[in-house]
Amino acid sequence: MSESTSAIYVSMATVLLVWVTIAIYLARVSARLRSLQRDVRSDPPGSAQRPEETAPQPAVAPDPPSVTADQWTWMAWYAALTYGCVEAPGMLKWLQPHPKAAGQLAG
Amino acid sequence: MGMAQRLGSIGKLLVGMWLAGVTIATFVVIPPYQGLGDAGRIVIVHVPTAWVAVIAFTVSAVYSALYLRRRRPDDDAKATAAAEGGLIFTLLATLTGMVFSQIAWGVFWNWDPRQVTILILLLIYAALFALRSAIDEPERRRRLAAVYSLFAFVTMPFLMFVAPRMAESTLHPNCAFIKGSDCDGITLKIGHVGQLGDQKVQLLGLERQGDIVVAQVKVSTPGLASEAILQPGYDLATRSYTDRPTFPGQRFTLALESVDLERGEARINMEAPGSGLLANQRTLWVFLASNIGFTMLFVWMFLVRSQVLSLEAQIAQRKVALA
Repeated sequence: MSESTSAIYVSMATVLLVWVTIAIYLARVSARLRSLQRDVRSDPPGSAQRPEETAPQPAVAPDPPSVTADQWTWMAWYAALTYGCVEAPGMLKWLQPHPKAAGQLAG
Repeated sequence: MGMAQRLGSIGKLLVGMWLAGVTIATFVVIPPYQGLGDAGRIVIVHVPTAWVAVIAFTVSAVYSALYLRRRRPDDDAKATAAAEGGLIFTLLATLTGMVFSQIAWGVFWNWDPRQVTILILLLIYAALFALRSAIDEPERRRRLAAVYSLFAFVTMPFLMFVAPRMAESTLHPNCAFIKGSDCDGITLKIGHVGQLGDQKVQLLGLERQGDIVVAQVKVSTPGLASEAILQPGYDLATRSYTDRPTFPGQRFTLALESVDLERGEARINMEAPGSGLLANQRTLWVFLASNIGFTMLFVWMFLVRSQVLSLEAQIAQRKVALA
């Protein structure tokens, strides 16, 4: 592997490190937020103080999971990173000016 | 789904798409940087992470001050969320900087002033979370953390902006972003001696070859342990340097920034790899887009995390009330 090729892979790995770190943080924090919001909804303030006043609630099925904006965002990042990692070296090579062949110069 | 929630979802999607675009542009749109090649691309991620850390610590200080004034637990939650974001981004700036350092300078860590100050900043803000975890009583914890956060913030501008620029010799390419006094170079007449960083330099002569002027510059390391004659070049037609020789045994380069043949003087400067990275328009635009994207990403992280902390505080308060 040439020094240039090695440098671009190191750059890509560094960018990936940043995204993965932030992705893990955001995924964990978002999951915690959803969990807390569920807890708060299922246990409104003061409910435990007046159990006798609380009528039994019919069982409600939880909301079905759907593709959220967060998930679309992760997919977009994933697509961008895949595209960047797989295609960038080829694109860079393609963007470089190609020297004309000796025959073309002479002709 | 409420309007606010819908707008939030659209906002998150836009941030994701924006940063996806920045990631593609980092590898496809911007050209390799002369002297650093593809490693220069790390700067597109490294600098915005440091920039966002500054914003995050500022937000944290503002909410800490607001907490001390209003005593609302929500302000404490926001101050903590912002400090946490700042700590993550500072850590990422340090790690990406270390990779850049390995490629540009040959070592991951060389106790460069910039590296040392960011490490101190990391330790200062890490101590904030150690302090929070050590105090059980919520009101006391919030009050002490707010005071500490304000003290920590006072050190931030000094550690991020002032101290690294006070150092006489740093490998960090400050000149890429801010024209500092250490980056302005020196103007020497033929025969005169000056100092660049810790290197003694002497302009021996200027030789014109068509539009190109080549200078003979004698450089000496501290203590005059070694000497060498370097020949940087300058193109009078394009008013830019043509050749930047490297100082012996180092990665610094010597650049000829302007020449006045009539007066027999030249402006010479010492540059670390990475200086002048943003001179390229495509690199500059991607860099600015990256800064905007990372700032939006921080806002997203901050909003989610502060909501979590706020809800946790409410639940804890409710449990105490029930007990």
